[in-house]
Amino acid sequence: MTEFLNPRTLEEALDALAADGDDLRVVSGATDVVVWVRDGRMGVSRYLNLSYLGGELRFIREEDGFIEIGALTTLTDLLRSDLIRRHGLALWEAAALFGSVQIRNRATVAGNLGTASPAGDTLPPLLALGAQAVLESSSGVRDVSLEKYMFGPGQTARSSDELITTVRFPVMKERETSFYRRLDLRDALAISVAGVAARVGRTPGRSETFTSARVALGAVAPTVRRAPAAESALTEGPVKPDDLMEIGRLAAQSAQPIDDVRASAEYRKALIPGLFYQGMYDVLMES
Amino acid sequence: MGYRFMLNGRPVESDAPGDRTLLDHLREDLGLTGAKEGCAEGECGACSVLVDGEVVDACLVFVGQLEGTEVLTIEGLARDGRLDPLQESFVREGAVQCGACIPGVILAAKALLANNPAPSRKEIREGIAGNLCRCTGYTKIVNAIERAMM
Repeated sequence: MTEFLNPRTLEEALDALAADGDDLRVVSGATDVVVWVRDGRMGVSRYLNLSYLGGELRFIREEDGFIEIGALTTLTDLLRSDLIRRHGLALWEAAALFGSVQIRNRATVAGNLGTASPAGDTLPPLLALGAQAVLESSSGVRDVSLEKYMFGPGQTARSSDELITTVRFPVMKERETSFYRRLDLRDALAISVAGVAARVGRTPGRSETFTSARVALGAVAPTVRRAPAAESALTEGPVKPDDLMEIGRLAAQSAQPIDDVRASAEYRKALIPGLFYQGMYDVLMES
Repeated sequence: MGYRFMLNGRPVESDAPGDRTLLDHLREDLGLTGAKEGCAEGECGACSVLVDGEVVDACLVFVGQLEGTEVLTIEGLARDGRLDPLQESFVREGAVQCGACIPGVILAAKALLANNPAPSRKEIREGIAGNLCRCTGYTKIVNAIERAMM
């Protein structure tokens, strides 16, 4: 029979991982794991269930210049948070289109990071926002930037004795904003075909020039990744709406998509400039 | 020791394995067949139930995650033999065809109205976007939820 461990404190959970991390499947929302086990993609003999750690790991708070999101924070929690709306609009927009109400009520931000699907909808916003995963084990804590956290589909920097306890990103400064735009094939319960997120900082008094830009692409490469050519183009000089498609094409240079049931590689790549345009056009218009 | 939680207002202690899904537990162990198994992977919402007032897919929740929670299924919605206003309005509006999705739809609507007592039609549609209905085209379902608000 499968073993089902229910730690009551974070310390207990970390001790269990230190002893048997390789054998334990961590679950909280379980919206991915139940499906994988059921269709035979994953065999699990021992679960480490985090459901009873909400007191320690379910929070959204501002701390030392960062927005910190506890591992058990659900997508619904994000959607109801003024802090997320103010400081991580891109992430809020991702939460709004994530799955369905039922899925948002269970799925967690840390779970989306744990799954590390290239199409995970919180990942482009988190990468654009400059997020780090806080990985904790019974022997210590380390912060890993998202650039260094994901290697490939499902492959992450988390070692088997570690737990993602917090996800954090720097607070929005004045004149900074962010967005996430994706294409999906239906309005709910959709998997992203391609997505673009960005965090940009506008020059005071000059809405068309940018002092900082982070652009992230989703579902067009083995991991979510940044688009450096577009970031440079955004900060090099004044940006007019007419320039956005060209800069979006620079962003698409970072895309290395695949063909699958949802779209062809060619189509995915072609979507990037348009999604970038949609998000950035709104940024230019709102300033 | 089993998992203790409230089910439709009554305490239960379940000796099911922690990794049994709430849906299998309800239907096969407890004989509560109101929650339906459609897709068994969180896509269709036919197994929707409320856990602590929030709608979830029972097929994606482990019994081992329920300790101390309150679970409400469609069987627990009527009170003292009187249908819930939502159930009443689904009947009056004729919003039910084959009916397989309706327990889930009603519970999703129940959670929606608890969080947002006066949703727009668009908000109603978003609130039930996790529930597939292959018969009605949703129009009468949305009408019924609107009627229940009055």
